[in-house]
Amino acid sequence: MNTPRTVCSSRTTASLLAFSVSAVLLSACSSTEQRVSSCTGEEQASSRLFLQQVTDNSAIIKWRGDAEVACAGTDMNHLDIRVSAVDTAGHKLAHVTGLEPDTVYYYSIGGALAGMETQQFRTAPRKGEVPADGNTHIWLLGDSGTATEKFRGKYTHPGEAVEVKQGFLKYNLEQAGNEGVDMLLLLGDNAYLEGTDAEWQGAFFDIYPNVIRSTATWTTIGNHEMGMAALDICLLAELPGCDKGPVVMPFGGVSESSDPASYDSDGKGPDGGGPPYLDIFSLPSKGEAGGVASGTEQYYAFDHGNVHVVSLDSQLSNRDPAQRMAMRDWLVDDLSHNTQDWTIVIFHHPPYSKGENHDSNLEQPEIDMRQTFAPVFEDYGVDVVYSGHAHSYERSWYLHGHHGLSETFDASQHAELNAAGEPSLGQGEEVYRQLSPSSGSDDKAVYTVAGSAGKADDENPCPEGRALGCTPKDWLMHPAHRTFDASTPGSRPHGLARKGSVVLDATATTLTSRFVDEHGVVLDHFTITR
Amino acid sequence: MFAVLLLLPVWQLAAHPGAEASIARLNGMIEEQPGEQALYIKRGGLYSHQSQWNKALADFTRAQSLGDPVRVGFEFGLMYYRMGEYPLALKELSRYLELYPADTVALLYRARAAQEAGLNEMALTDYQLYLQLAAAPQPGDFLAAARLMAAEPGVGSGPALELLDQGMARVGLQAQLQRYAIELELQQGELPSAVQRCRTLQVGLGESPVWKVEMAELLLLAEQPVKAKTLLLQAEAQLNVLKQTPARRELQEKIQRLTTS
Repeated sequence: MNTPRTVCSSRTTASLLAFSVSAVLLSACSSTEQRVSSCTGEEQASSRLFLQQVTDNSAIIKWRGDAEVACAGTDMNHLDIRVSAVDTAGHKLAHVTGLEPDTVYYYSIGGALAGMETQQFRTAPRKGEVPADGNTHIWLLGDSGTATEKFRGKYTHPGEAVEVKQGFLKYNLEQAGNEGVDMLLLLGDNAYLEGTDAEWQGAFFDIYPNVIRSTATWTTIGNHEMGMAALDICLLAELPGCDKGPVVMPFGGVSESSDPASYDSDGKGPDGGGPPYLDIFSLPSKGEAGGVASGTEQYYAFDHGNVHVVSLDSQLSNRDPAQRMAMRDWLVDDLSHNTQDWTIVIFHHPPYSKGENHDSNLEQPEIDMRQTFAPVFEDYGVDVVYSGHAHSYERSWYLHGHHGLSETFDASQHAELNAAGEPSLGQGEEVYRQLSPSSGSDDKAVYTVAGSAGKADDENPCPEGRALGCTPKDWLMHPAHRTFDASTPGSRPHGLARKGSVVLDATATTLTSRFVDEHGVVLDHFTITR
Repeated sequence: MFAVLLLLPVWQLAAHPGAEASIARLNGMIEEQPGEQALYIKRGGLYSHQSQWNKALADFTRAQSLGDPVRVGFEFGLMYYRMGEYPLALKELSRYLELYPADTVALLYRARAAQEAGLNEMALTDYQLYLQLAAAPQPGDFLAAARLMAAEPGVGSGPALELLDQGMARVGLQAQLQRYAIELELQQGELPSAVQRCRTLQVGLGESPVWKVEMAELLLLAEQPVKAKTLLLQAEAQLNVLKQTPARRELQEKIQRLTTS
């Protein structure tokens, strides 16, 4: 009989402070490991089954249901690791440790000896190493949470997130050898409109069940993760009644608070438990997945083989000057100690964007991310940065030193140039080099806005005298982003009004990013070599 | 009104206008309704976010005169804090906290305002209450409170170190907090404790050249040049094979200075 390995048997009831419980639980979990008998039970029904923090030696399995244990192992028909789950804020959490790197594990829920094909994951390679297949395959979803977006009781974007998913699956099957996804990165706004637990169920868990039970999901906080806040609706549209003064009403996605405890799901005041986001996801605040400990689940870092990923908090921590600087100092620490081949940063608010309703010249979170963090990205070797927020696709040139407003962009100063003196596209003979030929240093990054995994903004010209709630003239015309010609579907001068998602592939020598539309067509790509 | 709102496409409701456009619209509304308090509060908040303090102050002062001052509430205190009018910020935030004593964000800003006003004892009290009440205090909160504590005459480094250790017990071993603790240990002349604290960071940071250089600096202070040089050589060797970044170039220059000094 194989020796059973890790068990985590503590139980904790979620409290009003539940949004901080999961991190505490992980510590409690690790401290109460014990060995128990091997797997002998039956597979039990579960819902919301997903993976978190799959590292080179451990993985977290979370679910909802009656089952109290999970089993895992490399032999699908003989799972030999039995793990008792802890209760954490409405979920069961099983922390499986002692795993081998870059190895496929099957698992069952409820203690069954046999696993199943649909419940498996591959652990990360050892730090610094590439996977056995030579490639880390990453899927990124920005603003995908539209499956639960309603207007007058009717869904406004039915099936659109699923279309984007189908587009990715088609691309993956036909052009990427059906390679398994090694990690799923969410760019925020993944459960509209308020990020309630029910919206997370409908917009995320019900849409991607097969993906999230076989790969780890890593997240960042968007504005729609923070519930409702008061907004003067007259700022958005001329309405009868606005002539008598502001009409302040609660709306999802407009919170400007830096305090997670301010989360308000229904416009009646703070719920008292913080955002469901922090209940649902178990994120590595203590450096347990390879990054430097941040001390908070709101921002964190982790390693996966030769890839380092940083998730920043542009929604909460970024809004308070002291917290913003603390996050910046942590980022400097984390990147100082990062020696991985590739470094990816994700956060919700794009530093460079001319989205239909989000202009990085005007919105403070975008300005702060650009001014405070972009210089750090350049000094410490970040390669690619991904955001959402604007429901379209924009992708920058290979940038350095552009921290001002869009009109201050000067390609000759701020972009890697080709032999003709034009900004390099990152394709063909113009692939980007991690060590810039011009500076000899890794001091440039590509910034992508990919917030159209659930809907894409349409052109809606502003009527005379109105500038809000309609399409501005400079829509998708940020000069720091690459240009598109009219042959590309949905093209605007510097972006694409097109639904889709991003696929990122990291090998030992190349990092390739592709924007894949809902039909599985690659509409943009770039490559960085090292 | 709500019926009218229901006719709007949801994408319009979910839009997020920029401050400049919002201010332009509010300007027109205030011209038409110069006695409406809420308009001044809203515009003042937008000005404040843009650091246009005089305009923000004017709007909030006007708003106070047009209705119940408590309606301005927390936001008014926050505006004064951002303007640097700390006594006024304290006054407003204190009035607000009388009504909402468990509002942790208001407590945090009153602590900061008190600190800026030189009322360090009050600031420390608020910081400590905040750190007790806040469900998930951030590392920066512990750092700010510890810095204040250490700078306060008669309090000193000991309690600040205790607070940092409490912070690390709550949020986990965190490099920023431990680095400041090392700084305080050095100020107290506790070099061995500083070295020991630096060693605790080795698990998380030790593979990197930065930690080796930091440790080497402490060892040089502790008159252990051989050990320090070993670490510097290791760091230099690492840097020689790592890709060049602007930050790593700076670190290489620092190693050069340390090895030649």
